[in-house]
Amino acid sequence: MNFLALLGAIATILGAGSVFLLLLPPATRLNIAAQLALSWIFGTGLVSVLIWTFGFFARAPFLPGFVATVCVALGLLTMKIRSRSAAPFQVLRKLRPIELFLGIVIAFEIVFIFYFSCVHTLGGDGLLNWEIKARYAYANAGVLPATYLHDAGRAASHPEYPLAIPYTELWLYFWLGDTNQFWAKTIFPLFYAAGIALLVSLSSRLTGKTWPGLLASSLYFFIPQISTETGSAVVGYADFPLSVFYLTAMGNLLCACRKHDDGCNDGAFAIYAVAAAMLPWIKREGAILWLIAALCGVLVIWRRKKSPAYLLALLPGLFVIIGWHFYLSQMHAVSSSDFMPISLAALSANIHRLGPIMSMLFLEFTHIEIWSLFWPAAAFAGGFFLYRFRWIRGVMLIAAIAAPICIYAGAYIFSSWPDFHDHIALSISRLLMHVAPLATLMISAVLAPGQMRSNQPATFPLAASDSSLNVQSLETCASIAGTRPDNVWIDRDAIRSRKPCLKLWLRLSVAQTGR
Amino acid sequence: MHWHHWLRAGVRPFMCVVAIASFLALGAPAIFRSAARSSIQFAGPFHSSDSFLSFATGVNNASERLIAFFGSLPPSNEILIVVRDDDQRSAFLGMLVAYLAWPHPVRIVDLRNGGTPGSAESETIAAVAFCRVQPPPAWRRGEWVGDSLEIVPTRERK
Repeated sequence: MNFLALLGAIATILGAGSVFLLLLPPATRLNIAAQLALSWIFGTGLVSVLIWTFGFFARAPFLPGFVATVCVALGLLTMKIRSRSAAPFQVLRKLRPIELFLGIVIAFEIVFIFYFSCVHTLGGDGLLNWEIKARYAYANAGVLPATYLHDAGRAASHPEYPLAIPYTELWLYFWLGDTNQFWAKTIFPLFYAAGIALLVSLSSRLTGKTWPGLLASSLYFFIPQISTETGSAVVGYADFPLSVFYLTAMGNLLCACRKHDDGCNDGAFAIYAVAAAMLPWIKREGAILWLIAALCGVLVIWRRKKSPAYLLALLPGLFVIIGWHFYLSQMHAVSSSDFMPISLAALSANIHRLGPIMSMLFLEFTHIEIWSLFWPAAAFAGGFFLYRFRWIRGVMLIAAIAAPICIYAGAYIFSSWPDFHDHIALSISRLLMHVAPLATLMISAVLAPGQMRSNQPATFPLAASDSSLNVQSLETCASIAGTRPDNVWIDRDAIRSRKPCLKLWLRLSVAQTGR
Repeated sequence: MHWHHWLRAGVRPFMCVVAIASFLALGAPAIFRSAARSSIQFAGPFHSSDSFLSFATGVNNASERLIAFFGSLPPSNEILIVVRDDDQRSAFLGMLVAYLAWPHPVRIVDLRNGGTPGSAESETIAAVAFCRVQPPPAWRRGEWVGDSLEIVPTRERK
């Protein structure tokens, strides 16, 4: 019975999140795994926002009823619109043997993550910072009690933290009919599966090849900090889900800033905007990640000479940050005092901490027991990525990884813990997780062989005939180019310019060679 | 093909294989150790808090017992939680008690910082929870959960 209820909860989340797939133009051909992954992560964001906002007007049992109705309606709307659309519903294409092998490995790893989730308890923060909110909200008919928000005795549970994760757990509780710490953990392996699907999808869109993404994703499991350590993907912390949202935002921004717009760039930019807007709703540090994502977005809009109207896409994230802080101030929520107020006086008084902070950060990067060789590999890949992709994409990805680390490290200067070393030791590994999937995407991009530095599209003789034009399918072209069909398009300008010639060459632009 | 092309073509996959093998050799043992250490237990709704309480007090299935205990106290009255912050297990046990004591307001008193339980007869206090802290000898005995948590109600329970 619990299992069926769980399926109902997950299905409604997927239904609600699928509405964001309508932002994608028909030219965008995401496989079903990537579509489900996007539906899941956006669904959790949307359902939690709906519970929170509807909670101002309704209480259980009407509150979950209203939210479920909206979820089902959105799911049906998506199905109806997409069935009318000419966009083909792409299932997973036929895989090469190496891709099939890596795909099976990843499937086993996801099963292992579910297993780890079952055998581990929620972590300390998972229970006392996140699940606590779901439990108290459930006990209060679906609304976080105001008494909790200003209960100084429970300030250590961070009442000021945003509600995406707790309210996703609350959604499960609504369906289960009771609170349950065991089943609440279910959502975290799903975030892992979604993150891996998105990592593979983004990598293949960036490189034109599937296997580098599959290889990097399969190795990602073997980082103990991701799979089994404190704060890992299975113990109910918000850090891993936050990292998946950040990957989605920045990965799609990288796809959106390709020079050649095949009609997919706007879709990728829309997905970036939605994922970035949800960052501050996942965890407090999400506001920092949103700021970095927004600055990168502005850079793309400026460099790619997009309309200033695209800047409006940054407003939802700003609205989330302001709205949540307004709510907290109106509720007089207590806040934990992990950091002192930022001021020049505090900075000059504590600047001596910078050395120890950098030293501990370096030790964390080289802590192979929990990170294996991940960070040295990421550093190597970073240099190589800059060399290959040069300017905007290279700089943007490196900045998106390095800037949060620098800001997090700098924040410890203002730590109000009695011993700031303890503060760093307790939290730095979890904070580094925020950028780990993005660093994995970078590693996968440099794993792919090819002449990525070339800015000239590759040219392939496809259909040459003295008398007739025999244009072959894009699948065939992709096969010749050794890439996926969605990385190949016909450059019609090239056809027109060569019209007088009997010998026709179709110029194909392939992602790895110049997009 | 020149010899350096062959070298380059061979070095790249070789380096990849070495890097991947090193990566796996360093990460995989910890993960498989973790997999082998535990087994699935379809515990009840208090899967995590029961495990933590079992670790902290040695008592199994303590969550429901504590919730029932707190449920027998007037809900608007405060629970005073006495901890020593220099003892991590005491502090963590105090937070667990605060988690389970809902809807009671809670106040955490850290003895290390010179805090005192104050007057346990205060009108607003329903009970005092001592987490790995000895209660004053003059106090009457309360509800023991294992040997590290004692909760002393300040008035008659329902």
